[in-house]
Amino acid sequence: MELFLDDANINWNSSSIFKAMTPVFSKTFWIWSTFFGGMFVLVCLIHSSTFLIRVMLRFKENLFFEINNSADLKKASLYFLSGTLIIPVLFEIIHFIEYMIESILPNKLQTYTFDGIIEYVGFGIIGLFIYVMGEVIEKAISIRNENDLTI
Amino acid sequence: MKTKQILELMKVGSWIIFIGFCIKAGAILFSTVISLYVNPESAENLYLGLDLSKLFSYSQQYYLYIISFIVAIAVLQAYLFWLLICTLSKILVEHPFTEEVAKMISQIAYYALVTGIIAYVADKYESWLSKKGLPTYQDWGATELLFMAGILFIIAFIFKRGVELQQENDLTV
Repeated sequence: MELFLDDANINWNSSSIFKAMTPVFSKTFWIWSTFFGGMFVLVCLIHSSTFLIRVMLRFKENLFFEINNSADLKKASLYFLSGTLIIPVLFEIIHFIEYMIESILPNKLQTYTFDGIIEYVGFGIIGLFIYVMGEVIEKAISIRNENDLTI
Repeated sequence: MKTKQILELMKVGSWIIFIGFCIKAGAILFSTVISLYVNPESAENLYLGLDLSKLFSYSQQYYLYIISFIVAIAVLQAYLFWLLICTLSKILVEHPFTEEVAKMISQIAYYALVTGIIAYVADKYESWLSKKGLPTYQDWGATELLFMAGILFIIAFIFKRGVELQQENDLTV
């Protein structure tokens, strides 16, 4: 595993907001957490893409305001948010724990706040935007039903 | 969480990103001017560790092109989020389909497409520079931007249809 990741040139320390100067946890810990984290992200993003593809296929058939579209968009947004935010936030927490352990020793915490935060907030906004689109389609369905019922 | 609260949360997030990109563009512009006219060593750390010193010593023209790409993309992204803030302020949960919102979403989609194209050109330019033995500097995110533009075009289309439905509803006696 270690050899494989070394060959693939994967950096197990992750590009994070918080970064302890001297790593406390072993290289193996980071390799395995990166591996399982990566798998989790991959599964979540595949699920999210599947729901989005379903919606796009319905759009292709001119089925825009359908209750299934609204439900699928909401599911896609939840999977997208889990895939893009859970693991990075967990990694940040681990880095912070690392720093807390380190602080007993004379070490410093390096922070790369700006770009990291912008990236996470950006992912959050995209996920929430997809969710709001689900709500908007639901609203459109209610308008259409109202329209159909009006004599 | 209610949709209204989600919209408020998105507005706060968009403000953070908008300010972030403005600071990024401003900081890079400022340190570029410093590197060109005051101290060339500042090209080693233009913004959060962005090191363009090798490119600066290789050719000032190429250096300026790369800086122009970085600043142009940051400014366009800031403008994208400014448009998003305006759109979010105008969306009403009870009455989401208005001409204005539909127009603004298509505008965001067009700007995302333009930003994506510029990022793609910058990426290719950087690859061309790397063939000359210069290091690569950053991930331009062209594919993400183009993908986002595609999704936004579809959303803009949905909004247009929604506006038609709403008008039909309003006209029905």
